[in-house]
Amino acid sequence: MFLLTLLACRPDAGPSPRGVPPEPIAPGHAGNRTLQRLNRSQFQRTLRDLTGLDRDFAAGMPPDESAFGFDNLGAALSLSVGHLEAIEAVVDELATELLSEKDEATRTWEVQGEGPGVSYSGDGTVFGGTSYLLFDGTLSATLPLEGDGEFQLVVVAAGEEASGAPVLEIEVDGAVVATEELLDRSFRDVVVDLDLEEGLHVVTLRIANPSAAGASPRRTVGIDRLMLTGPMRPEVGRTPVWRKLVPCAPDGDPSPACQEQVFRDFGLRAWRRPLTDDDLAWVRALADATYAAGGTADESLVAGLRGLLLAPEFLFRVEALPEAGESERALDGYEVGARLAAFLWSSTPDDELLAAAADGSLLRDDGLDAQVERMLDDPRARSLVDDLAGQWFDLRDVALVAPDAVMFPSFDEALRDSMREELALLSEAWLLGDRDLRWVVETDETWIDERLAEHYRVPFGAGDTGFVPVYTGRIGITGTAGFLTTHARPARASAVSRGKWVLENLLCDAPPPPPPTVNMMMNFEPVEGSVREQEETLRGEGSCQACHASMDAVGFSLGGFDAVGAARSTDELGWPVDTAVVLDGIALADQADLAAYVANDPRLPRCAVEQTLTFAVGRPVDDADDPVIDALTEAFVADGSTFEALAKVVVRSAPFRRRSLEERP
Amino acid sequence: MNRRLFLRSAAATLWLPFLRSAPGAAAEPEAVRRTVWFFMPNGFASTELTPAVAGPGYELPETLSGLAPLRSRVTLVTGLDNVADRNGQQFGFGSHENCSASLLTDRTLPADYYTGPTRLGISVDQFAAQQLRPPTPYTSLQLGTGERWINAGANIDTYYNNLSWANDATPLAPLVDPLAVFNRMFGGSDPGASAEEQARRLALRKSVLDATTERTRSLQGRLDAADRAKLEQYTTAVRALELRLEGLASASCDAPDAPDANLSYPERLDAMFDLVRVALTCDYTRIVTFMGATTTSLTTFPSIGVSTDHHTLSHNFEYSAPDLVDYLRVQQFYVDRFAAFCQSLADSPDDGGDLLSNTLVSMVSEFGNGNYHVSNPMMLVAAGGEVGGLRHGRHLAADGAPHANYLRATLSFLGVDPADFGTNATGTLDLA
Repeated sequence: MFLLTLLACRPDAGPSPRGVPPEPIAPGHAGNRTLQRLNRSQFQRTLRDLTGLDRDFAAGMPPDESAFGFDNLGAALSLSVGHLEAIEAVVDELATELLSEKDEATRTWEVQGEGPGVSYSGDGTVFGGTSYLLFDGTLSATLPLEGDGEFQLVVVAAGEEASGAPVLEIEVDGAVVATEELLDRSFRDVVVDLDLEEGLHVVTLRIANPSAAGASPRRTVGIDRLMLTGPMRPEVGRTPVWRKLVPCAPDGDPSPACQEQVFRDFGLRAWRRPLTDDDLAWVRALADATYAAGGTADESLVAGLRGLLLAPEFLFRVEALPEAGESERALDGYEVGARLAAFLWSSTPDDELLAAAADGSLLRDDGLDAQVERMLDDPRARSLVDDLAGQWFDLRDVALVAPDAVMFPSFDEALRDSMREELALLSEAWLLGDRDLRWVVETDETWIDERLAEHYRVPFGAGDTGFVPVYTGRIGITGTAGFLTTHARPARASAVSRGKWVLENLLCDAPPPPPPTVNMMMNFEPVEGSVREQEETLRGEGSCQACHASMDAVGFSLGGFDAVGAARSTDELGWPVDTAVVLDGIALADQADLAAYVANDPRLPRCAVEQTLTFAVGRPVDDADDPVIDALTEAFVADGSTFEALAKVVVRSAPFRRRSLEERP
Repeated sequence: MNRRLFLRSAAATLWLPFLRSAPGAAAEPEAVRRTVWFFMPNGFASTELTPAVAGPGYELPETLSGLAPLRSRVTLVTGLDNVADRNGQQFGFGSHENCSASLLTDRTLPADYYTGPTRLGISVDQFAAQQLRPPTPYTSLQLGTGERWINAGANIDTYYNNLSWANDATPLAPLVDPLAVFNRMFGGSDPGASAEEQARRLALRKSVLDATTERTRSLQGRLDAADRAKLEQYTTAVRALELRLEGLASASCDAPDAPDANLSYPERLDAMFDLVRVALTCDYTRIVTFMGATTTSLTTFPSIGVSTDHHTLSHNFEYSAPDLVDYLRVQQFYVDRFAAFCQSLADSPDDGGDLLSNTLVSMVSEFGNGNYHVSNPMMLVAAGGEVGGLRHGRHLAADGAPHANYLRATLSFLGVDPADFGTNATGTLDLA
């Protein structure tokens, strides 16, 4: 009825995104999300997408508050002066960059023999302008570069072999950027392309494969000189971010009309909705005040942009209340677009999403489907790996584990990175691919690199590099070293931590926390026996056992892996590991059985819906959401359990598309 | 505002119960008073560390031996009872979040806190900051080191990871990166710009912040109560930031060397402690709360050969002799760093003496027994603050006095009326 009236009034206009109920109305409980501050990830990615600059905008921000496993819940996130201070500093820096003009030129810094900024250590000599490096000899040149971007390093070098040619190692700021075998005594150019920022940089040259100390003859490298040239594309005039944000005056001095256009365009993207006349008047007043106080046209424009980025409409996702007398309302197209961008990109809507918000297609199921498909294909959807899987599958925690260095000498940063990457690839295959959810849990093949293959003690193809699919004998996510290490103590595996995670994060059915009347560690007398036997004794037969039975069973089935996820047959005390358990009446022999159990459990897809809905909407789910979650689970499983199917049913749901007027704490 | 002028105002001098009247003192400038809280996670082993004798003749336990050079400037306070720890009181064994949340707030978590809304109450440092409104760029500083406790099934992370609360719904997340803290304090200004240019830029930044408050007014009508509470946080932050920008712009303090970006855990603690000293010396702030790590910390200490994580040690120490040794060594590790920090304040001259004499530094932990998760009896170390008449060099046995009485004592030291702070205080602990 309302729709007809509206169309009748404006026969030639498309339906307005505001006030038009979506068809069909998503059934069920909508719920109410508290005003949601941009969290660190969203602030970082939003700034990146608004400015085109890829840098760590959130570095100075305090950590985000988290609850129920996620750091994007409106009710839990607070905004303190520490947050605002960090945000304002970023905005101020951006404003400075917008107003600055570059005057770069390509030039060459040349180093030959000795001179300012050049130092030598170890064995070697400088003779006739040529530097000779022997054994551990190094040449370091500190160069004060001007300008950012591509630079080219040329080292004019020659080598003298002794049981093999010397390999020249070139390091910049402590990182090896090139190695080059020098096969003969004639000088030639070794060329390396570098991406460097303005400021001091140190180039260090040494022999990667020096002869044994005292050997004679010995491998020698001769350096005629080194030259660093750049930036190869010097910037002159306005900065790229100015040109991106102020296309109507790329060289500065915007007209009033241009200024207004910039405010409208930038405001639309930053506030995720068109500015109203009042909004625009507010921004313009900021600009005018700056102009009146003696600022230039450029500065007054930038003052307006500062205002747009510091306003609550940018820092929070604002969604209107239902009209007076109504208990619920459908979000308008822009509000839905903002939610989509936050969910799938942890960022702000792009032009296409804003267009879909404007023409009303985000209020229709087919329009939503089309956007979900497009957005999941976009590189920005990588945010799902970092933020959704990052917290749900604990990818982020891999960065924090600190296995005991004495017990696990093989653990190093490279192994940590490989562990994280395996989990990321596993998550990505589901989130951004076409696998179904069960695959994450029961795949017998994951992507690992040589380092992990060594850790897993499985063969790795001789010609393979990077991460390749390998049958590891481990099944799905619960067999990955990343998961097993994250859920361990530094010096020992933890059955409880692993069990709790599987129940909580994969089945959403963890036992409640121990009641306050239970003291876990009271009167604990170690008994003779394995770690498992000790823990079972500790739990006893009483009230602890009731809750620990399932957690422990899951955890013990994973006992074949130590605190860094390496396979083991004995526990920390030297007793044989027993991984056989009975879980809910089903006998499981080991990790593979556990994976199959979880994969077949109907709680798994329901849990995926629960986790994804929480993350997508930014509020915790509760009992009132049960009917919606049940319905979504059914649809998700019927559609093949892919993440795309899950995202589609979630964004069509009432909690995602609607807001109710509900008393919240 | 001139800081000396400020402390002479009537409201600020009303509560200086420990001030000694010294002849000619009126002619001397009143020293600025500060408080620093340092939090060590997972408890003091109070049964091991409580000396047998109270008063000045007590024996300093080996774990606290790092304090020996400062013995005359330190008080060991034992026998406090954190009454606000509901579970500890009720059952004789409590939880991490109950004890850490109540430590500086003296508030008991609500019965439904596990899945209910985030709710607590103002903490003692913020109570002081809000009463004093010190004319410093930072009304207070919250610092940490980065480890966070995450619990997927509940809304309790905030109670683990924060000690400071601006009000019952606003936890103040600590800054955890020393370099970011340094940049915040010293990186804002452009040394190349003229004074006029700097003033002009500052005016511009403030005018934009000012203008944003108009936005909040226009939004109010579109939001419900929970939304408005968030917006209120924003408005408060805007006002605080304006003062901060102004304060930093007028401060003239030489920047120390910037901390390194990648620091080990002990280095990170030291770097933060040094930034605290700098912030106090520069009068950038007078109230600091530094969480050495989050409660339930799983830190290991390879630098002192401790490979079992701190949390495990805090449970095992009661039945494993080697774990007890390691548990105490970890406490010694923290005490040593705390002592080095106090020494650095003692080595910094300040009005009427040194920085330590004008600063009440407290080292606290959430438990008196980490295994039982209880905060009765609990202990702490109080250092410095002699300007407020604090008498040190002794073991003060508090005999079950509420921990909140100590919290109140820190308010009194600052010249803040403590009567309205805390729910369980029975008085103000006498440190004189």
